[in-house]
Amino acid sequence: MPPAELAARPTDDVDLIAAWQAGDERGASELVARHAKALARFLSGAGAPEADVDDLVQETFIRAFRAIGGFRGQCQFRTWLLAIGGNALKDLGRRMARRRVVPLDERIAARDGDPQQRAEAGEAEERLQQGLGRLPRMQREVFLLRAQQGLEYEEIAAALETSTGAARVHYHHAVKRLKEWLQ
Amino acid sequence: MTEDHLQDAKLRRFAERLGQRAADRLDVERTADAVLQRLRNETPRKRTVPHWWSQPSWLRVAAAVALMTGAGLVWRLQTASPHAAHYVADDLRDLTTDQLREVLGTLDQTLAEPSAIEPSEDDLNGLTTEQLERLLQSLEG
Repeated sequence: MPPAELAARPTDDVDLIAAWQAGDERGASELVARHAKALARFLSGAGAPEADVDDLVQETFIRAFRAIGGFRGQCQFRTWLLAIGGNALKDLGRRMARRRVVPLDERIAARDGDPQQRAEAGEAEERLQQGLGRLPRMQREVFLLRAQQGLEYEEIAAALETSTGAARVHYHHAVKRLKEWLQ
Repeated sequence: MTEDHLQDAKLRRFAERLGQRAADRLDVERTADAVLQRLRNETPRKRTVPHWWSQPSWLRVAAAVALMTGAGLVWRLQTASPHAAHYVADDLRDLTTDQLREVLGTLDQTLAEPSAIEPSEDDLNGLTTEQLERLLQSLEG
């Protein structure tokens, strides 16, 4: 896509990807601008320590742009990006475990941020966050993609390389366990 | 609306708010700049330092070695059979007519298949040494 056209009208993610692949850096900048905040919400919800969210967002975009040739439009770019973010978060957890720092699950339970902010976040939200930290990774990610990001099961299944039925089951198990936890 | 549905809705509402502070705090412009900077830095490095084994000259050498090894194997397989036949023929020259008849008689006994053509003792007696040698060689294939 010619640069003038890229700047002139709102474009699909697919056009921005094509622009980036053709060497136009604005394609990549625009993709970051569109999806970075949603990615930060997802990572934070999935248990990323607040101090690591910025780095994880960057790392996820780097991985996505490196692997962009493998994106075949099987789902939306954002969904694909969130799945990559989930992998980046898992790798962070492994690195922390190797370094014998506090395990990721415990870090999820003991949220960063000052007490004032934590109080403002609300008790129920805090408990939900803790409950999410206790779920298996697949249930946690399916729940967030569905409940937080509002995605359809088909979309979630394509991004996480599972079946639609399995995504449904993971979601319902997650909801059941979270309700029990919140009560 | 049932209690269960209410709980589902509440859960979704909480979930939608999760991570909002992290998103608010994220500086999108700075993130985009940092991502692009990292991508710019790594692209030339990848181009200038390819793996030594993936360079075209090494691939050509590897292909030539594979070709020569394969050709050598084929040559050895093809030349193995004539050598074996040669040695057997040499052995036959040392045998007398009677010994050759004896060997052929033994072969008669081992060829137990009914369909096989079995030369009788009378037929063999009528053959010369050269004919017996040729018959033995033909039986060996």
